[in-house]
Amino acid sequence: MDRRKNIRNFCIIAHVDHGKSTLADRLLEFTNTVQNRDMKEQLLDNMDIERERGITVKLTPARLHYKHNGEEYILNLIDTPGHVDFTYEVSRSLAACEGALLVVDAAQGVEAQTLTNVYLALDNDLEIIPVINKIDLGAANISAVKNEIEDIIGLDASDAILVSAKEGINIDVLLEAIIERLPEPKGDTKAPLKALIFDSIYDNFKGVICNIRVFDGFIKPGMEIKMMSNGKAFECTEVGIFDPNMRPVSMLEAGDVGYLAASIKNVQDTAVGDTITTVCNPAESPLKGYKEITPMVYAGVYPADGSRYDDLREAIKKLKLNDAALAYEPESSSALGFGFRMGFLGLLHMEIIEERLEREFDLDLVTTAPSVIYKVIKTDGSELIVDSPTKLPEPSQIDSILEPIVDASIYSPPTYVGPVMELCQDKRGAFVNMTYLDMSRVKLDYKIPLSEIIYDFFDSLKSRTRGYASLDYVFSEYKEDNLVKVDFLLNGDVCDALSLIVHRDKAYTRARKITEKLKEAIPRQMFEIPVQAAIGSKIIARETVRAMRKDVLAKCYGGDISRKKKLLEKQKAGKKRMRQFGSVSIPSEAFMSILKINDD
Amino acid sequence: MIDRSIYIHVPFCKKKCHYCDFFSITTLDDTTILHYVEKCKKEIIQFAKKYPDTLIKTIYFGGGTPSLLSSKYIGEILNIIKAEFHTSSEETTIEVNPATSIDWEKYAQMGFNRISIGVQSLDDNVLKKLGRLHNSEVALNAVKEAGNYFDNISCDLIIGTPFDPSITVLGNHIDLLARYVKHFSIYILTVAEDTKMFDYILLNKYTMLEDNLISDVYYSISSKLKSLEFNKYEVSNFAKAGCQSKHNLGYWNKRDYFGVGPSASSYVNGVRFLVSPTGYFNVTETSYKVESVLTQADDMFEHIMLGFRLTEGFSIGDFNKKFNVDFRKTYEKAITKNSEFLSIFNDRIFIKDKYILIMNSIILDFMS
Repeated sequence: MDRRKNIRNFCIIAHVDHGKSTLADRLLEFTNTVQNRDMKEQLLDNMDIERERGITVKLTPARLHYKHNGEEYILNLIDTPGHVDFTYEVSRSLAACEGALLVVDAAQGVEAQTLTNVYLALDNDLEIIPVINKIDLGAANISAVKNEIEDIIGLDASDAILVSAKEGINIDVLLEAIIERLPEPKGDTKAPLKALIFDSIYDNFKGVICNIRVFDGFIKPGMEIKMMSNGKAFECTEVGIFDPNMRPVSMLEAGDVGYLAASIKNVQDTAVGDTITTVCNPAESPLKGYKEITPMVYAGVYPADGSRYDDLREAIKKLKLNDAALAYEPESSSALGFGFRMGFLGLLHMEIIEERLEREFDLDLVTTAPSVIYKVIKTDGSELIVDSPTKLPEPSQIDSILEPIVDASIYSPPTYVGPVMELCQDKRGAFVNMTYLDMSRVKLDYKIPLSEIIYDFFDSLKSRTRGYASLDYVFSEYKEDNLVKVDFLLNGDVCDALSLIVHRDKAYTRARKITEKLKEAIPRQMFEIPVQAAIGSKIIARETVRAMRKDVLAKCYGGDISRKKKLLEKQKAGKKRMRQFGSVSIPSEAFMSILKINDD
Repeated sequence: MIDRSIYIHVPFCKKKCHYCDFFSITTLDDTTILHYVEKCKKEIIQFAKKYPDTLIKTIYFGGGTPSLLSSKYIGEILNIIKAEFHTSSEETTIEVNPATSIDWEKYAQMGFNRISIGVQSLDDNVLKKLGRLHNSEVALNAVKEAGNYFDNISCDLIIGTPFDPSITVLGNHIDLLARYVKHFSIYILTVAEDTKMFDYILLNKYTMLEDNLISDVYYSISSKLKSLEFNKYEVSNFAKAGCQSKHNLGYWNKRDYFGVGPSASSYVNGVRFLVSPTGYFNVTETSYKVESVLTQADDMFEHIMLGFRLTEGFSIGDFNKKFNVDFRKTYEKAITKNSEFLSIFNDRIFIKDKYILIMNSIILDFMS
């Protein structure tokens, strides 16, 4: 008998905070996949940062066993990352499943990411089971949420499963629904191997470990396998399942979810979304949906203590082993010394990487303001990709500058539509559409430059809507606009680390804010320091850091000499942490405070 | 014979002033005082035995509050110094606090020829907030009375406090005091940690004056004093012709000195001793002296750090001879970087008066 009849592959999709990870925990617990005593809150989120922030970055699948009507079922749960930065990863993990649990918070209703994820699931032809979570909350409004699911998403919510993941209510009902309502995996075990990579991690002993879903054929150790995107071949050394820990098995076949190791040294060779086949009997075509992922946001990352450059390089290398989306190349700045230009999927990705570098590798970092990737058409007709303001050519060589635009969807209560539209306008957004989803929710569609989104859009949105609005966006197109580079000069010298590309209309306000901030942050020195902002040679803002007037110790007699010397030694050590910029010294901390400027 | 000086630290105070971070004790019982006096005498004898090639040119009793110690004990200590060392008694100073009863006549008889009076301010509000025990009237009287016995009188003032009177009022105070004294020490208030003043500022009870205001006060007082023929010879010290403190100049010119008493420091033949104040009153404690031999680099830096305090700076030739280096070459980078702030004239290098208050930043560049 076909064992696939008793396999269900599913994932959980939800907006952040709607209880996805808690529900996953409960499923693991209820099926005895994890003993209660081994249970940590949100088990599938491995990294400290994931648990602290309540987000999932790396995907961890788990195999659950459940008896239903006397038959043993294998339920493969594939967790999905919960953030807009990782939309592509989400779509690939969805592609590994036949069904999805759509979790909606009984008190909060449908949010931006709920919908994005539903669309992704529908794109992948997934069967969706609506699950209304947190029904134990006082503020739960089940009928309203059901209406939202029907009106906004267009799914039949009459048989939505009502659960409380926290309290463990109706978990059994949910498990039965998974078995009865989700389809069994299809596929042909005799056809050439087709396995989808939906994540990969680096293991010091086994090399890269790919999380895979087998669609056709089978795979076992000893087989020669091949990556269909780049043709690279490896010998499979181990296959296994997640129990939830890795457990080797003899073979994975069509319908199975598991992992594969093949002494692969480089995580780049195992791109998420790629199809694995065999060398001797390759599939004709790969699974659809593979896309090369490219960073969207770039920033300069420097060690606060310049002597730790090598440590930073080693740390980035280590993180890169596990993160194909991370890009980096050496960069040097006259202000910050040696560091790296790093590329990220988005702001969250950037924050996570920064935090991991600081925490796991004990580094102190100075990070420049994030920049998007601009396309510059030069006067000679050639096109240049610019991921850092310092790489922008001379104005005379520029014909036009194109910037990335995203399709942004904002969900907000109707009360805040005014402030949200104002914000979008302010961020150079172009209005596309407004839909009243129901009495309590409006969906606004805008085309907005990504550079505005990564500047401070999310924080402004939250503060203008008291946290009620949610945002999602996808890349749409490159578009020309009137963009200029603003440089900042300290004592007449351009401080390259501070340069930014901005729309001409906003250049003055931004320049003024940053010069003011610089004035505050730069400690007084022995001479007056003019702080200027300039577009080309035109000064558009100016502040002055007044000269320091006093640092002397009034008394210095016999008994004070050692004390005074110690004080000076301390001052001298403090100076070492300063960035020498021409004749101006700026503490690394001050740099950070300047770069963290916000509009509000 | 090597010219050296001796400093006696008298740590006793009735009450600690709010800004003071010097070592002082308010235990004034006979046993403690006697213990202190005996220990001082022993130290003096030890120094004299160890360095018999010494000629003591200046003696300085500072504190603390030396005038709290009875003149009997002061006399005993002074006598031991004169008995154990060769002395030339060029300058013998005692610091007095107007809030104590001062036996001027005895001091004169014992051989003191210079008096330093801790006036601090002639503004009663400032005096109160600094935690001083006297008022302006008492202070002024002390200054006047000292004049009956002494010619060479110095007066300490504190400026740049959060409660400074106007510059005009300060100027009037200087005018008044200048009639009686030959020397002023004008200290910009420094707020050290572990002082009451520091806590008050931390708690926002007082707000420190802005640097530029303090600098304005300092320079207007400087020019006021100049017009009264008190010339600045060190950052905080102003004197009529011939009335500079010889003892204190010794520190800034890096000459040897002995320090006696708890927390006092000595510098002899390139070695610095520090007398730990905690061990001092512990009868059984014998190893209360911490010695550190200065490296040539340390010694050179100290020479610069102290020399730059002086209006005249220091002699480059003397520096080169003393350390067998070429000053201009060794410190070429620092000199160039600070060329705007420094002057070199007739072999002497000094900080221009205009920049004397940012001396720390300048000397940091001379630190290796």
